[in-house]
Amino acid sequence: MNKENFFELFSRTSQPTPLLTNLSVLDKELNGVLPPSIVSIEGPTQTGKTESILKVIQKFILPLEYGGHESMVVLFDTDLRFEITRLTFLLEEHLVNFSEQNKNKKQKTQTSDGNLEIEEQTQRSEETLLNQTNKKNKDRDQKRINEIVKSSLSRLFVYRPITIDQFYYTLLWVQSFMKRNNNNRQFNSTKTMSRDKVSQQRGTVNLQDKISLIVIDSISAFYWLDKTYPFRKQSLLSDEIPNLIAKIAEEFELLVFITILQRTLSIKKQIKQAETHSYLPKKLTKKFNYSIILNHNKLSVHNVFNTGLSHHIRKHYYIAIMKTKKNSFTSQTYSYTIENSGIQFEIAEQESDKDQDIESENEIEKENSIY
Amino acid sequence: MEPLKSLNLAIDDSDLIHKLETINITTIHGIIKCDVPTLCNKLGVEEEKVSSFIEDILNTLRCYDIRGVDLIDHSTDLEKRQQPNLLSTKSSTLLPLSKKSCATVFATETPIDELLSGGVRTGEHTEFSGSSGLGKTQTCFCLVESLLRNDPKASVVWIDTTNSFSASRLKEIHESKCLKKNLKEKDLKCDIYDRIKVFKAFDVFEVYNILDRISDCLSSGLQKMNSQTTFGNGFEELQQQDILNLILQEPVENLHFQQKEKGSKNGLEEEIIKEKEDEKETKNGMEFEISKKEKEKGKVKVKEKEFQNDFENLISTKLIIIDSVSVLLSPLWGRSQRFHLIMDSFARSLKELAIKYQMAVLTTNSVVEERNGAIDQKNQPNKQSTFKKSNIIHLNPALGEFWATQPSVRIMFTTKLSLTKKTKIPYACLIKSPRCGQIKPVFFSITEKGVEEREELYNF
Repeated sequence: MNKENFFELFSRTSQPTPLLTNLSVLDKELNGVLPPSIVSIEGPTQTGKTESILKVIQKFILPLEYGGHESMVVLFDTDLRFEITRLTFLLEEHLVNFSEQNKNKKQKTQTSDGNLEIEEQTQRSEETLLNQTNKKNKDRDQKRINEIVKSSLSRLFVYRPITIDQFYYTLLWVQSFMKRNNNNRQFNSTKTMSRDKVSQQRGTVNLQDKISLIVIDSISAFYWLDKTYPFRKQSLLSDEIPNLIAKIAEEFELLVFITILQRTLSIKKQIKQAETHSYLPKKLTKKFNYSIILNHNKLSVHNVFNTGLSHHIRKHYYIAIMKTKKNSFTSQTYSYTIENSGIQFEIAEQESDKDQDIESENEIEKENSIY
Repeated sequence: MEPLKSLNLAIDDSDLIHKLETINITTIHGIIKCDVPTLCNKLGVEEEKVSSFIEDILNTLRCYDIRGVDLIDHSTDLEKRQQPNLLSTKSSTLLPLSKKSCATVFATETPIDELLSGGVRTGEHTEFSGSSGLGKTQTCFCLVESLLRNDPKASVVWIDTTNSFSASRLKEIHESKCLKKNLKEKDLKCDIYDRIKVFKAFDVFEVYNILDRISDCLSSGLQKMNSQTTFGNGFEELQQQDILNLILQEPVENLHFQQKEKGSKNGLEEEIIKEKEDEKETKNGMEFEISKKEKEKGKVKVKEKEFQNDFENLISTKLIIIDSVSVLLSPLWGRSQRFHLIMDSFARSLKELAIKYQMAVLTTNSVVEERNGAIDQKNQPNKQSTFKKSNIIHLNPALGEFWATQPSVRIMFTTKLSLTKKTKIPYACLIKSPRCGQIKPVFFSITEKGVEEREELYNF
């Protein structure tokens, strides 16, 4: 039996620690998200909602050694548009960058100890060795990366409900599944004691073999069906499902990420009237702890279809964070881009809106002169 | 909310259902909402029974779970998969997993493949949008021709709403490609014209009927295999392709049809013979009843024939093309909620077909104007300047913003003025894709041989 102080036990079992979500907006401003909480990501089409969710999933799936939480994730793909190759690409890039960073660190520690001459000799010999064994190392690395990606993807469960009923019943089934397997955080068997100590040293929480994240990609997929034909005057989306989601999050101390579709509006309107213009019933908005709202810049809306210079899509977005606490909210605006390596937020605040409007007008004139 | 009797559960709980009826719990929703211990006290039944009953219900009604690992293709045989990008690399076994998914890629063999990162994929809904005459239908022809030539078992469903399908054009493309590869049609031993099925539809509801027929055929083929395997909670979607391969090897006669009549396997004729023998034995002169029976059998025979025809043609569909979805949906435009509902359910049924039966779905769409001045009016005070600028027209895909969310991949065909500003040059660009595909637009030209690369290069 491993011995523990009272303080260690207290810190381990009493308070939930905030989890890092890999979205720098939430991590750097709020130092992670405290479970249980519900985060909503809203916005019109093609603003990066699914991209941001893939980043969160990537963080939760990866093993502890590579900077992840190594826990199970449940994904409800109601839009039926989940793309596995994109997720594997993100995982692989992360692993490649992670290994390169470690190599650089090792080289630094090695060179700091020895003399200069010896360093040069060792570097030359290393280079020649590298050229010979370059291919072998690459193959080995690729094999290792493939194994890690496979093991991490085995922790992801995807559900594709086709009707609201199926969605509702799978939620209930997930709830009963977690009850039967005692998915509570306070439950720690003797097998996981050693892992707890390791995780304590790193300041993280032990989430292995537990479901700690539920992602619902576009809860607004059933909006129109539910609105026009509610079953016996009891619409599931507005009454039953929000209560269920909140129950599940509280019982098992989970994080829940929900994406919501919106109609395009300007930013100012969006902050004030966000509730009325999103494809979502009102009862669910009261249960959100945090909501991230994404939107296009004016530039991208004009030029997406016209010029074919779709690199414009990848610049100049705005977003806003709101912490909803019973009608009081604090909002901040940031900018972000979507690139091959995923969605990237810029935390430093932007200049005033007027400057950017002038820039946008100049660019529109330039492109119009082509025609 | 369905009644409890409609469920076919593995465990016989008819006693429980009768007992629940006495307390007026007849629907699934009713039993899920109530408290389990209070129920047990009322009925005098053990808690385990009731809880296991509820678990069985949830198990049958939920969607099956898919692990992320299963969505990646673990096989190393490149010949089976049609991914042209991977064929060029040597070390195929050690490729990154990000390029291997269970979806098969159908190459169109046109320059537009670069935008699609290989071609049209199964399990996805792709869309070509653009104004008329720019090459959307021509690329569809090239796609169909390449699919049917490369895969001798696949078949295609083409739903034509604008009367733009021409078999002679298909023939032209096919012959020109055979000449390119120095092959004759006879040497290829493929009948591409038999495996394409064209439906003419002018209404959304007709298209719904067609999609229902396709799903009926495919699901009945799967039911037979399903009944032989274990009772399916964990029935994985990925087994479907193996099952379809097995079905295609079997002759059609041995397969079980969906009808639930007694002994209606293959031979209704056998049944008729048996019944005639029975009638002779009974020797009851009920001629009226006999004639009725024969009429019913006749109807059933006709239905079976239709079903058999459908089954042969539609069992191996791998691609559904719907030419101009905008013709189907734009007459319904209005501010009523039902338009959005119809669009939503239509798109959803397409995606459901694509995912369930591993097919690719392609739709074409038209284009809508949007004047520049209308958007910038508020910011610019001078109305004359807006009037000048409003000469510039922005073209957006039709059917609005809601339809833009439904397909996963969208390609736009537009034109660009040449340097001399006298002619318009067509090009295609990628608007939406889940894979962050190629950014550069692609130039092409339409020739006798289909859609080909353009000789002159233009720099943006």
